[in-house]
Amino acid sequence: MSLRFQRLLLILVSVIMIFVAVLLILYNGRKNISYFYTPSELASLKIDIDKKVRLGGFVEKNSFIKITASSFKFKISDDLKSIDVAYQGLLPDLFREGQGAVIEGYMTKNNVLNATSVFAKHDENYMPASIKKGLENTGYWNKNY
Amino acid sequence: MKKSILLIPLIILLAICIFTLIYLISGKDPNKPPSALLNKDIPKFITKSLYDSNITLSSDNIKRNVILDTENVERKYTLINFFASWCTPCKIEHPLFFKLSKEYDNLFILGINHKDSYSDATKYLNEEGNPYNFVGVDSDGLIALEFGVFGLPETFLINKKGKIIFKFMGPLTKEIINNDIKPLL
Amino acid sequence: MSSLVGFLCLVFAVGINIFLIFSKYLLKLKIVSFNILIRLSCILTLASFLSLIYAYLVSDFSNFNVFQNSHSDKPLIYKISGTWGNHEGSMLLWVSILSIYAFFFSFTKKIDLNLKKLTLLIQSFLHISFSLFIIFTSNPFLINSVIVHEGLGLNPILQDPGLAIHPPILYAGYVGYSIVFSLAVASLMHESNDLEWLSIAKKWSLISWTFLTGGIALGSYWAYYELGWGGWWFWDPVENISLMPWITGLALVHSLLLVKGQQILKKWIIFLSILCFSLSIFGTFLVRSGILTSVHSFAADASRGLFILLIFFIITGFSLVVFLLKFPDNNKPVKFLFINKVSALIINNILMIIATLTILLGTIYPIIIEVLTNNRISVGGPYFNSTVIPIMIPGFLLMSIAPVLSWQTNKIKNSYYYIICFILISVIILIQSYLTEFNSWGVIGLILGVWIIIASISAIILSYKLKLNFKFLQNINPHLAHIGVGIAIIGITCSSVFQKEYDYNLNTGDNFIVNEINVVLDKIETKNEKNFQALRANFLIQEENSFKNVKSGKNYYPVSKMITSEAGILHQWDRDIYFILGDQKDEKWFVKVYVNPFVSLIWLGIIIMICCGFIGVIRK
Repeated sequence: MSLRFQRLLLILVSVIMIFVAVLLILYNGRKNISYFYTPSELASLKIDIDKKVRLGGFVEKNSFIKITASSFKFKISDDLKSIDVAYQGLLPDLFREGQGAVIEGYMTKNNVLNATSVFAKHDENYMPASIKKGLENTGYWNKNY
Repeated sequence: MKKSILLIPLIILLAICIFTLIYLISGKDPNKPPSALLNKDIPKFITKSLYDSNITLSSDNIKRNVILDTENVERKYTLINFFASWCTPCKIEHPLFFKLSKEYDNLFILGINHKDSYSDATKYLNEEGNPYNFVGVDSDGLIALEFGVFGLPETFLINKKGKIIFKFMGPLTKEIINNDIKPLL
Repeated sequence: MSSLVGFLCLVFAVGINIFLIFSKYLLKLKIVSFNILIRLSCILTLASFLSLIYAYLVSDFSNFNVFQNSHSDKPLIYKISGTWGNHEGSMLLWVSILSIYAFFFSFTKKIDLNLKKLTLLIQSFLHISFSLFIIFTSNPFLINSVIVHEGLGLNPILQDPGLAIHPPILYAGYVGYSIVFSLAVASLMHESNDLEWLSIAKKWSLISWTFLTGGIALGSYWAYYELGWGGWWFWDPVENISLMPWITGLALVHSLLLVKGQQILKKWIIFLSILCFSLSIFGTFLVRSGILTSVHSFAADASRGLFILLIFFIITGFSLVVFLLKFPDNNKPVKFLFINKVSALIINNILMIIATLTILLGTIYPIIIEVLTNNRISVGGPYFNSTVIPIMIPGFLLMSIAPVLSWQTNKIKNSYYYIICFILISVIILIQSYLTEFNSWGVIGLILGVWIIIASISAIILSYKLKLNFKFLQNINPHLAHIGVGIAIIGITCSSVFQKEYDYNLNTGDNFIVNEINVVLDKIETKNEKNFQALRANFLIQEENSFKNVKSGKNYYPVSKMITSEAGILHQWDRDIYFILGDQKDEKWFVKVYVNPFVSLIWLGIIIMICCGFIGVIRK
């Protein structure tokens, strides 16, 4: 085989591979990208029912309801609007009322966000740490921190 | 033709740098939900004074600019600072409020004592000094919730129309006061 | 006091490096004094780092960094690891490792002296840029403005032995590419045609790649048993960032192999060296500027981000411009025959670069979209799974046939034997999966994994005489590494495709059956430990006649008021049973159970790869 032909072959192979990669990216990119909204944006927009969304905000105070040990209802709010969320599964350790959380899921017809996963954010600036010893032994498992 | 292929990585580098640069400068932070409160009216609240539970202060007072009936001065700006005795970063920013209140007569500094006990809070203000014109109590954290406070300390600047014009999470520094707060006053 | 010492040491180290750069133009330093200065600057940088460790050890809260990240109640090991558990300290660690690499490189012999000097100068330049970054934007030696007697504690999630040593090892990988980078750029600037530096570069790139593998493995092992999500890889941006230099590093190591086959792709090697280190810096930038949404939170600071972006731009831009201007001519044309080792390696290289670009695109796509359209999006794990894996599959196929290919000719040794073997394995696995549980991805993964192992073993048996000494081990080392990859592929396929997930709501005393194993939720208890309170559920697992205990639960850290999950894992060689305790309602506890088959194979495969990496470094 001549050198010229070899080089051509190499270029051809790489072009085909890049082409396949681009196709894969385009095809999968459409399916697996989720949009990030705040509750007021989500409330004002009409979202397709089977489109995956991410919702970021705070877990509204006194909105958290434990239906069973593994299914929950709560509201995510940004002080202007709030969105009802239903979730089944394990809540992250840092999940609590008044804290920031990111919810991923699908909107249902009655404007409830059916969550597939819940992430809680812990901010490094936030230092609820009490250095006083007095707080250390208060009952903690029942309290909603 | 060969050399032009070599330009591709340079172009990619340039594109990546430009995009991230724009992103950085625009000051977006994906880890925090965007603040919905900026340039909005302050949320409604009423708080009792730490020292005398008969005196209250509400969001209406701030909107009307007549903050306390006992004072004659008309304050145009209000700085709301959420703090607590158990919050060590609050201790760091604390001295800065003394300077600020000395320099600006028309600034009303409102301290909101967040999830704290009376004795701890008064002890803290005795030891560190009290730079606040008014110390409000928020023992159950409801006011902080209204303001969407993410973590302590957090500070809000409110203009004379009662709109939030600046918000900062974390302890204030001299630079932030000089660069961000002072130009607004 | 220790803060002052540390700060001064760092400043002096920068001073020496600046002097070295000027000395190139002003006075001709002898190589001996040059070496001494480089080593001195390394010792000073290390002294600076050690003084920070000392401040952490004695809980010196007059240092602001110690105050923010440590607590006197913390166990000793986490006091030390607290040094690099935060942004400032980790950047100091970065620079320290950079100077350690320069220190060891200064002992290299068999290299053109001018090339060595130039390499060390580039290394000095890197040292200066990152040290200035530390001094101006993230100084770990700041003095606390208030007097305090207690610190704010370290994130309890980070209090874990695996994570304590994760950053130094990961950084040893990232930063190791700096030497390869400096060598490549220096050889471009030097315009020499000798190729000695390629074998030196090979050694250093193998060292960095091995460390990087170890660092990534530790990180994902930590995520596996600490995050309590039942998985070990989540395509989180922070993970993607470490994967990119890993893949390009792999491509680099393999291209450097071509030197052995007397076929040299000099341009390509130089380009890969630049790419590896650039991706390392870019990763540092993305993590440290906090512009990515990640489950691992890092403090975000725009000025820091700008500074590292500038460093990244200067270093990468400079090297690419040098590459463009001094583009080496290929004096030896590559013999690219249709099917031989060289072509297999080249195609594999291209595949790896495409995979890297795909990951890069997915990682920074949210940034581009937000700048352009102001929409905030996130690219999830399924995107990466369904793009990167199909791209890698032909690579794995090539990897399995590579041992049979020859360097120079188109002939395939023992081709019939291999084809029969491959078909046999495929048929066995297909039948086996039809009988149990069919999944096309699972079948592909299993066939590839088993086939890679069998092909490598038969290559060892057919091409070498079995001997039991170290020389033999060195000879079969590449095949061993490939066996490790095969084992890891089987583990990855089984644990992700055949993972089972079960949910239970249980009272204490209830029993349930997972995968034909009887499990009893025995009791739930709370305990007070040194710096946390523990809630533990005890699961009794019946195995024939004996019982095994697995504890799973949560820890509550009063100092930071945080709760962490502690997954309970029953390790068996062929599967892990993974218990997570959830919430409680009306005396019933929510328990999630994952059954992950063959997870242990992943770790086994990675350990084999790491060992092979080190054996490869020792060679000769």
